[in-house]
Amino acid sequence: MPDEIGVIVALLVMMAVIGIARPRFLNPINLLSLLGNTTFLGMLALGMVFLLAIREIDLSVGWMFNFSAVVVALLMVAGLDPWLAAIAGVAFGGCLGLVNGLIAVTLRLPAIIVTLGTYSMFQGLSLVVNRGRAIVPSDDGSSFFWVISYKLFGVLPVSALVFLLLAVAMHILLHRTRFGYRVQAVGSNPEAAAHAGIPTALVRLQTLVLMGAICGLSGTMYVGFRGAIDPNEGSDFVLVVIAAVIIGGTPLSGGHGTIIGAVIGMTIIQVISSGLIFFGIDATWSTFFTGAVTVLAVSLDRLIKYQRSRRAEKLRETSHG
Amino acid sequence: MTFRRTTSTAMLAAVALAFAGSGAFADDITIGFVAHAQGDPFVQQIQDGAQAAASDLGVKLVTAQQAGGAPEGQLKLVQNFVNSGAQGIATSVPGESMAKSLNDIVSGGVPLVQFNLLSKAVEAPYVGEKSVESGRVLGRMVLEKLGGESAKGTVVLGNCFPGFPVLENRAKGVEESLAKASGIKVLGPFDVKVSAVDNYNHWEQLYSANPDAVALIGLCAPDVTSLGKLNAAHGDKFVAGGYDMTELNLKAIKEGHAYVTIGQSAFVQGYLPVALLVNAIKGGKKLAPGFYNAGSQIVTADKVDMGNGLKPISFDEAQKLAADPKATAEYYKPWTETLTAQMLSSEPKPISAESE
Repeated sequence: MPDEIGVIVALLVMMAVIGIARPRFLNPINLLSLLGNTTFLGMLALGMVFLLAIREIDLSVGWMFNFSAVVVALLMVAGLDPWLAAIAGVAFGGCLGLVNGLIAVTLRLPAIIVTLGTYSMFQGLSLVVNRGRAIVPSDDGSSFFWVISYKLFGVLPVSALVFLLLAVAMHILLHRTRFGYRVQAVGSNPEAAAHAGIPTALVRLQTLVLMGAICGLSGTMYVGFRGAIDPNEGSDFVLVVIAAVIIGGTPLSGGHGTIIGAVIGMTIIQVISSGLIFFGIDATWSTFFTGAVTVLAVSLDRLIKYQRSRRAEKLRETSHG
Repeated sequence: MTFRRTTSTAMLAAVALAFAGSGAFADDITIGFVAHAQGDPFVQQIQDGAQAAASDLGVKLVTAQQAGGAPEGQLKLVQNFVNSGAQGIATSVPGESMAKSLNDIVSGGVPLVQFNLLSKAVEAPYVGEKSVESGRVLGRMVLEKLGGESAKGTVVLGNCFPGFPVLENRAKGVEESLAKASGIKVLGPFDVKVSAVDNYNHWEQLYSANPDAVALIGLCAPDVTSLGKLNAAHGDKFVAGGYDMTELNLKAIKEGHAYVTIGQSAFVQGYLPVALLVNAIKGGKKLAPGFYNAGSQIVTADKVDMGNGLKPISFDEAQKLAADPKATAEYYKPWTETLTAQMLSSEPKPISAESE
């Protein structure tokens, strides 16, 4: 059974509980809408898995998302072809990640410290560029907005499909490539990784650039899907993204990461939010319930993992005995 | 093993209970109400108005609020309400990026009303104040206190959510009125944040940087409270003005640390959207985009002008209303009784009237 079985069970239990009490929740349109809701933050969670796996945290993800989206939208407003603007947006996000990476590697600082500063820098620069106003590019005459907003079979947003494809690609990158192995090796034991000849600084730099590029991609997709970017969008992303990755089973101690877990973790967060509304839980109680159900979901995951490890131990004892 | 199984079962039961805590509702109509800035007393007053409408009209109101004002989070709450079967949605709209998806909801047949914060791109009515005009009133009140058109000195302006059109419009109105005094120099608007602690800290820093300022003006609910505290700490040297009739804002005015606050009819901003939605749902009518003026109140320690044709009240009565949703609903009865089906079905003013 996969490592993510605990969170998968937690997710299924939640969906079953809500679905039994409120059958409308299991309506395919609602479930696809939930998937669509995970898209933009979910993409950021995929990048954050790599960072946690390498024992780093990037606090600036929300503003890299916002700044990239603002740049994309402004390029479109300036008359650049939206597809070219989209490519520029991803590259711009990568450049922001490069700024984080160069500072972290050159000054040998943890990314959490560096991004504590760049969090405000990127926010401030974005506000300077957008002048505190929403940027609304015209969607006339380009297939970009049509393609990003298009719903396959009338229900599945293209943006959600891109998210799922990106998740598959990132899973392969983490578990089937040299870069992925290096990330996990550096996160598991940086000194041992350095002794083994792994260029740890370069791996850190590459991981932070990857995070930035993903923020750029998410911001670009957001402009295409929503048709605008507001000055404060992204301000509340970072905690949700980190929570999704941790709920999904990626440890803060590094050395291991799970893309599938991050996708499930983000879905759990969306299911909790949706479930509270389906049950009509009052706004004043919803914050408490969000926290309580998150703790229950994580507890269920840990309990299942504990039972699995106990069972494995017993099997080992039996085979040795 | 039995213990483990029992623990797992108990945990599943706990998850179930956590979700199934609320009971079923018998009402035929369910309205979803979504607001920004969770925990803000002014937003809570709007929600109290919506609850009063639901109670008067016999419908179920389900509410959700999000911290801060990021549009994506708020949009998700709206979409969840639609998917859960709410027949109508009342929501503040803190960003243009919500417009496309909200229009999809409207075209899908779910009536929607915006309140407090709007996007003009949303094809749905908006209930709120006349934002530029209320700014003009605030600027005029402060200018009169400073000595009228012969006033001199620096006035600092703060905005808790830079980029929100309604707040930008208020700033525009304030600046328009202050421009009548050539000796007045306006600084800002500066970002003063919305959370109470951040808001006070930002105002404190602004005052430290401009200790000779003759007036400090905020555009959001927490400002008057922060400015009152700041003024009290510095010997009441400047004129403080801002928005909203929260308990703490009124206390700052009563104690003489702040001069004026402009109410934006929180009760009406909550009540009227629900009334419009229920009328449209019951009558099977489409809601036309446009502007419903919620009205404004002008409150100083000497005078309380409640607007909306309501009877005058004393400052103490205004304080009591700010703290008591039931008393507020009772006070607004003469106004709620004017909301006939005919009135609710009439065409709203063009949306441009909001910023005239």
